[in-house]
Amino acid sequence: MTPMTHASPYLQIRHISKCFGKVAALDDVSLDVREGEFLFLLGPSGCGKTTLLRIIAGLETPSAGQVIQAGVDVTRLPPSQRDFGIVFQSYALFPNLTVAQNIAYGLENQRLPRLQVQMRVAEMLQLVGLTGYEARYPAQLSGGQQQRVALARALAISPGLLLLDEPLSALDARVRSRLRLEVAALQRRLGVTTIMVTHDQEEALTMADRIVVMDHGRIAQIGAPREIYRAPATPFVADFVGLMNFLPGVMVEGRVAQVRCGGVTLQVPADAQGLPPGREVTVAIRPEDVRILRNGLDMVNVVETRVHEVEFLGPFQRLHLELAHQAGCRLGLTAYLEPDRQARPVYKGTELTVHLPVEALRVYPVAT
Amino acid sequence: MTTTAYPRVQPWRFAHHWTREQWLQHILIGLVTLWLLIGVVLPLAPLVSRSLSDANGQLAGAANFVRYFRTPGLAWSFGNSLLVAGVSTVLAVALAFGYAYALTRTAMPGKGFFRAVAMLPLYAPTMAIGIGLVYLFGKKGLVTTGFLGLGERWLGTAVGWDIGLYGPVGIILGELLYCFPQALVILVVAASLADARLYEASHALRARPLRTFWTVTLPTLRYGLISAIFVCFTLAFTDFGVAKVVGGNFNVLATDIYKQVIGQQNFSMGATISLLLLTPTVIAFVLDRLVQQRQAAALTMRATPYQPKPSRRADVLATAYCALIAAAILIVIGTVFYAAVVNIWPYNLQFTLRHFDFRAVGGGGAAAFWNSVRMSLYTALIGAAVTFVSAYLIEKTKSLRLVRSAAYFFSMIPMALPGLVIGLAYIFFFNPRQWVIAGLAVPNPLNFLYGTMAILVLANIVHFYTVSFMTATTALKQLDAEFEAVSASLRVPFYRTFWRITVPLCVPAILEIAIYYFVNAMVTVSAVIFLYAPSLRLASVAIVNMEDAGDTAAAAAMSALVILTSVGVRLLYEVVARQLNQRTQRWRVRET
Ligand SMILES: Nc1ncnc2c1ncn2[C@@H]1O[C@H](COP(=O)(O)OP(=O)(O)OP(=O)(O)O)[C@@H](O)[C@H]1O
Ligand SMILES: [Mg+2]
Repeated sequence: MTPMTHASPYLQIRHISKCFGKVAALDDVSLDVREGEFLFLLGPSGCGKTTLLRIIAGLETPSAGQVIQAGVDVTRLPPSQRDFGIVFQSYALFPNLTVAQNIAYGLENQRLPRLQVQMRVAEMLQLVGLTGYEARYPAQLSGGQQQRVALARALAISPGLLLLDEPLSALDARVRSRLRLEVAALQRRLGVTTIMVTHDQEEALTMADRIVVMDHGRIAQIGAPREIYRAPATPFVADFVGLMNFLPGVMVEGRVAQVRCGGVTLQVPADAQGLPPGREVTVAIRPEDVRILRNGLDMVNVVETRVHEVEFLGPFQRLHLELAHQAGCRLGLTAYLEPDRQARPVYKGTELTVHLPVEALRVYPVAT
Repeated sequence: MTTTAYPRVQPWRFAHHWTREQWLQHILIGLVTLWLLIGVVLPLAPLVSRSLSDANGQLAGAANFVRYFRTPGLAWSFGNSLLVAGVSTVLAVALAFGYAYALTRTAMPGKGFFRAVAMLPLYAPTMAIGIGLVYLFGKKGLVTTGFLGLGERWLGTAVGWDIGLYGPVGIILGELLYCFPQALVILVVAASLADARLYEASHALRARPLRTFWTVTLPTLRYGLISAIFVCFTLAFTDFGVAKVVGGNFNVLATDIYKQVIGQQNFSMGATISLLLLTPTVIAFVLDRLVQQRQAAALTMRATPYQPKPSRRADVLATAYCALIAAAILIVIGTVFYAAVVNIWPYNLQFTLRHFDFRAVGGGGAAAFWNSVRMSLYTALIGAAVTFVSAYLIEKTKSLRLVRSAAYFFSMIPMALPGLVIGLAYIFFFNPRQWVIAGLAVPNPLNFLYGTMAILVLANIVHFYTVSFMTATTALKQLDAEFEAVSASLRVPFYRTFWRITVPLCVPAILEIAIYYFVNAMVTVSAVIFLYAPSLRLASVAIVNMEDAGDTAAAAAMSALVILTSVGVRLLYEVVARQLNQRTQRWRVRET
């Protein structure tokens, strides 16, 4: 093994495209993965996440582009000549082998002494917390246990790269959230470079070092979870990751946008300054950033609304607000209301004044 | 992105560097394609070219076909074949439909028994069915003579009934028995795929039983019915054994080919008739494929199996119906056994085993029987291995896509090939010392196979290949699609995973294929009758020859041996499979 310098990433994906007949599953995807990081491929169904993962594994050949792993161009190498471990959504455990035999499957092929194989299997079982389950067959394990065996089998050969394709999606919600933490902790402990595919944004936000958001075979944004959430690069990312309010509008001057209806004028952040007056825009704000005002302070970006619906969610309530309307045009706005601040109960029809803080707003030019 | 500085690279510009494992895979896929070419595709070429040449091998165009339809005796055969195949198909499918309905939609008792008896004809050579009919309805038949005159003696009046067996009646009866289990298998599978929820809905809507039948039962069985019709028609149209025994002067295509080739040594006319035999089967095959493709979509919905509820009237009716048909089958097959062990039918009904001493009669005797057993064993072992490996390489590997699609297509062809056509095509392909290709003589490298056990085994494997291949493919498709990917990531070579994972998981399917090959090789006559060597006679051929020579009792004895062997092997398989499954398939059971 050659020591990696900080400058060069462990895995480089350069201009990868993939067509299935006329369907372009991937379109010019480029991406660097740092050594030891936990990277997520996130996107809606059919956006090409699995295809990208399979190309990295060599299970699919790209129509164009290169994959470089540890400084070696592996684009044309078959999977057996690459260095990775993989866990599929179905786990693909060998049903006729015991747990121990499943984990040892890749080790036995390396012609290691039997004792060494046994020790490694024991070590792996301990790692995933399944000591004592050696002699069971996969059909005798729960879904979560099967998932951990699959993980142990992939890790047993100490791969340089771990690929996970929706490994948690077949599990029920409770097991899934527990395994999220376990897998993330395991990854940090082993420090193995890991790429995980998911369409569950919560999973990506809680576990990832960095997230790659994909849309229709293209990369929409790459960034740390916080970055993706706080500063989504496109309305697509904003909408896909978390909840977002969108208000259609038009730029009036430098830092002022006029919302399409209700005659509301909003101050927007400085980065919208490049947009010329008259430009169609979408102004976005997260529901948790919408502040409900108790007494009408004299501030900018204060909007009069009426409660359209109240949703009780346990720890807090979600309010569906309507901007004061005129000429039959209505605009919805979602906000949260925490119960302890609830001085005056809120019902359908209650008039509320809300504040849309300038720094919480994001402005996207509408594609023309 | 900062990576835009890299040039775009088209990977196909790079040379392929195949690993040793990939080389191995490619060579194996090549071998599969090669054997399919030699076994299935190439032998068809000389068949077609011979049908277009005269007796001396000169090109004659459509002259043979014209001559065929101008010869009155021959031209009739085509219509005759269509007639008997059509009638027996309609009868077989209709009767099997009722039987399948009783088995799957009623709560009648003894289903296992009725199912087993209905399958019995599958374990008998078709000649045996003919022989059974002869002993019942022939000139000295049990029924024809009024139970050997007993009826007259007891009742005082002649009760003999001559149904005019020899001719279309006999052939239709025989083909009916032969096709019935084939239709039944298809219809039972189709019926068990039907969704119980539809019946519940129909019941909840208070639909009358008849309306439920028209709106639920028939549509769900539609594809099964179509498939059963095509399969039965093909079988009845191309079968040789029944027509040979009870056809009399009523000529059909299958017996014509036999007479032209064996009797008159007119191979070109044999080839011509072969193509005529092939036409309807190819049409049926293509239509069936088209229909089944539609069905695939309908089957992806998850169905809840139907649990029939007891209903006194329906159950009694169903039992009576099934008992009638089962009795008919048992009587015909039973008569073969009975005739095999009586001294001189119908005059001396003393028990004897003398007909099993085949030394006095022609046909090859006991040696022929053992040859058949040996051939069936080889067919089962080699056939199961070759079929499973071929299906694996075509279904589970990723490289050489076009070659694999071609191999898949070749694997479907045998379904449309009648045994006689395979046999005749093999004569033309393997027999000549040299092939003449475009006027050029090339030595035939495969000539050494001619007249050997190997060509018989090859012919049998090809003859029954498609069904076996589909069984293997279905089993492979049920395995997780990522086993191969996981093994590759663990750097385990594909052949190791094949041996340790794929084969053990498919043991039941592989055994099923082996037994299918064994039984069919044991009872078939059509493909091998042109191919066996004088030193390598076969039981089924011996039956034909003994029957031809008038040694019907010996033919019955040989038939009895063949039936006993194939049924016996099936039963042995059930026992062994159960034992084996308990040991090798332990992982299937959930311990709690
Ligand atoms: N083998 C294939 N043949 C043809 N089209 C394919 C194939 N594999 C994927 N595709 C197509 O490529 C696109 C991307 O598929 P991919 O499986 O990568 O999506 P995904 O992001 O993993 O979706 P999901 O979340 O549903 O798993 C889809 O439109 C899909 O239909
Ligand atoms: Mg996917």
